[in-house]
Amino acid sequence: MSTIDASRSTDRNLDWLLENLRTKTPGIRHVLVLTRDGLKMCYTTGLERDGADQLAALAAGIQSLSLSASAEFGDSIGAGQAMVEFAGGLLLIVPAGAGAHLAVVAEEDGEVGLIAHNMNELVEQIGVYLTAAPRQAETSGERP
Amino acid sequence: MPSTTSDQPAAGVRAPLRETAVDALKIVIVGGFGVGKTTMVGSVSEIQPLSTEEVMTQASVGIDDASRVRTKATTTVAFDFGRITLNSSMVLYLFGAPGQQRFWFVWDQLFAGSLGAVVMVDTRRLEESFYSIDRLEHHRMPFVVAVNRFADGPALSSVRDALALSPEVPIVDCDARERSSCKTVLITLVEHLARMHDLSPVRESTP
Repeated sequence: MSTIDASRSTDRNLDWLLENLRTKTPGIRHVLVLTRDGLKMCYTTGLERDGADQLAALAAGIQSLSLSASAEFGDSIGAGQAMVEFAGGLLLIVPAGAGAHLAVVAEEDGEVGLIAHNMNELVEQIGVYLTAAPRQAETSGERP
Repeated sequence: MPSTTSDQPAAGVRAPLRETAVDALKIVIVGGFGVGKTTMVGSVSEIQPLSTEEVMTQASVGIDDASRVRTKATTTVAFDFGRITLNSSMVLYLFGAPGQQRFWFVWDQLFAGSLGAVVMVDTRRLEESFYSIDRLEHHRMPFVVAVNRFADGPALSSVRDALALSPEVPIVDCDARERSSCKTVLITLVEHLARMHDLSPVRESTP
């Protein structure tokens, strides 16, 4: 199941859970769920639509590079957690349900351990809803 | 052309960088969505290529137009990386750019320090290469156009006209799946760069 196709009530519940993560964790500015091919699924209200598009694309790139790093230098292949530190902020990304990732933009002085803990807790609770199914083959009727 | 690399398929091959390699050239491979950039890096690289292909999800329906690339199931979300040694002293580092608009922000980093580019073109979707060519011309980066032949299509001269290429820009046919074909494209680019930058020609293997 994809949250894109989910009913409105499920969407609203997910939005509420993302908002809840943001409000209960000091320092979190934005929360976004993205598909592995770099598209936004749902995000918190403070994030503009264009910012969400940009965050989804770059977070997918980072996670994909993480996967390659694990293949080259790790014991098993899998995207782990990624953290990027920059002037004025932090970006943390963890795998969510199949085909999806959870990204958080936090304040520079945010407590990384707590933020990451709460992110993983959220994924444990609702990761099953944070999935993006692979794209279906195009319908055969259109085939030339 | 002195071939210093084996013609084995790239998958799984680990060719150590030759100690005699002194000229490293960074090359970017650009082009529209699904024209074969990742395929090219994969088939020509002498090292296990870095690939950042991700499965296309249902969220991409209506955003990424796969209607004319039906068998496509994955897409590059960061960049591809590979390496090929052209002769005893010259090695190319290949960076394949992501095709979709939402990843274009990666291009600036890929272009930094690049000496030249390959623009891959699918003649059924010529318009998808306009952005690449505009961007390269804006950066004043030398490039060659490689027409990935998915099927019979217009002659190279027609493609040249349609893309409004300057006369000095080389345009060649290629099959991105074929190592030797991709290598020919890259040699064409290096020779083009040599003409423009007055580098020593590729064929002179050692100084």
